[in-house]
Amino acid sequence: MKNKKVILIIIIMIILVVLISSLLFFINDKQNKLPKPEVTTGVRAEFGIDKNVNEETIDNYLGRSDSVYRDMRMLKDPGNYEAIGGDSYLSGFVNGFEVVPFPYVVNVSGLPEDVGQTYTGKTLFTLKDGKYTANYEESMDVLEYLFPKDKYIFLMCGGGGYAGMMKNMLIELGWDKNKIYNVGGYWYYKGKNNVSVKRTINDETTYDFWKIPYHDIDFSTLHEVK
Amino acid sequence: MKKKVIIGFVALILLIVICLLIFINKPVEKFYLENKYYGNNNLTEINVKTLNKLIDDKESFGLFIYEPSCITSNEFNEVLSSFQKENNIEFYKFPFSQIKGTSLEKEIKYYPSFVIYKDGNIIDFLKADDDEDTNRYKNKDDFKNWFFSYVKSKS
Repeated sequence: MKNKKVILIIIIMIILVVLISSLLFFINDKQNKLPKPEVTTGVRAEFGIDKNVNEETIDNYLGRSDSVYRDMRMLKDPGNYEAIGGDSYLSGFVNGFEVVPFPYVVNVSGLPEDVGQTYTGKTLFTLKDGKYTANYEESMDVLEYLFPKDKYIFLMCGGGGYAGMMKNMLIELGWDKNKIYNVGGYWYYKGKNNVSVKRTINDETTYDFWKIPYHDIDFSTLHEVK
Repeated sequence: MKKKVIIGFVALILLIVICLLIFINKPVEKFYLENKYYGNNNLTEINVKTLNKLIDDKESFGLFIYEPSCITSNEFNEVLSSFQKENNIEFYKFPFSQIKGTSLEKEIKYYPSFVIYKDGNIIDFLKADDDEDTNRYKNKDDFKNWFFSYVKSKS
């Protein structure tokens, strides 16, 4: 009789362990399931902003070990945005994203006239007539390091423009389009992972750039393609 | 008797619903912007204080919502510029980063956008995530048709 009770208790415990494990596995699987990249509607589609993985939902996909998160803005854009009421500085970002300035990756064109000249310095690549050409022997190595081909890549910027251009460039250079998401723009982000960089105290504005995980590209250490 | 009361009640509800639907879907009567906005093609940057004053003064005007630090606004900026040169109408522009706390915040989710105000109230605006508005952002004539479906021209 006693033995039967013990066996019954063991069986019940095994069933419970199996049930709990299955439940945990199911929840974990569901949370980690990434929808395939799908472009949204309207003019936002022009920049390839994703329909399902965007500013409103990105909090659900942060911190994945199989992914990298890149914010394509500059810390301080040389353009004179203050002249037109703007802010040249990266005043905040989504926690988990690391900054890789898009203007350092490839030459930028198409900015508003009022802004004047933006960054016109060295770039890893040059885009001309729809073709990307490496300016340095290490250019592709740098790109592959910052945007690993075996990871999901989440891109973001101010409004989705730079992120969209980066996505197009990666696809053009051979990255898998099904692993790249244009999350859109920081300006639309209202989630829980906002990190503010701009501080105004007694009418004085400062920027805590030390908060920003930043990938600097030091061109002086690279070898120009001859 | 009871049956007649129920039928009468249902008929009354239907009538109210139909009247409400007609009222809600009533097309906005075309209107003029304030006189001062005709005859020039300025695109004037304004701040929150100025915007609130325009609304409090119940003005009718056009407002371009953009973000100065971003390439995303640029193509529409050119459409707008082309429209203004052709039609000589002044608009205001306002940075998206400042809409928090304003009456725009509830309506405008993404930039760029263009808002038409009548007597200080938002009549319509372009939505960056709506396929119906895509051509209005990219094509001057589509924007013109949309704009003048609400606003009267003086040319």
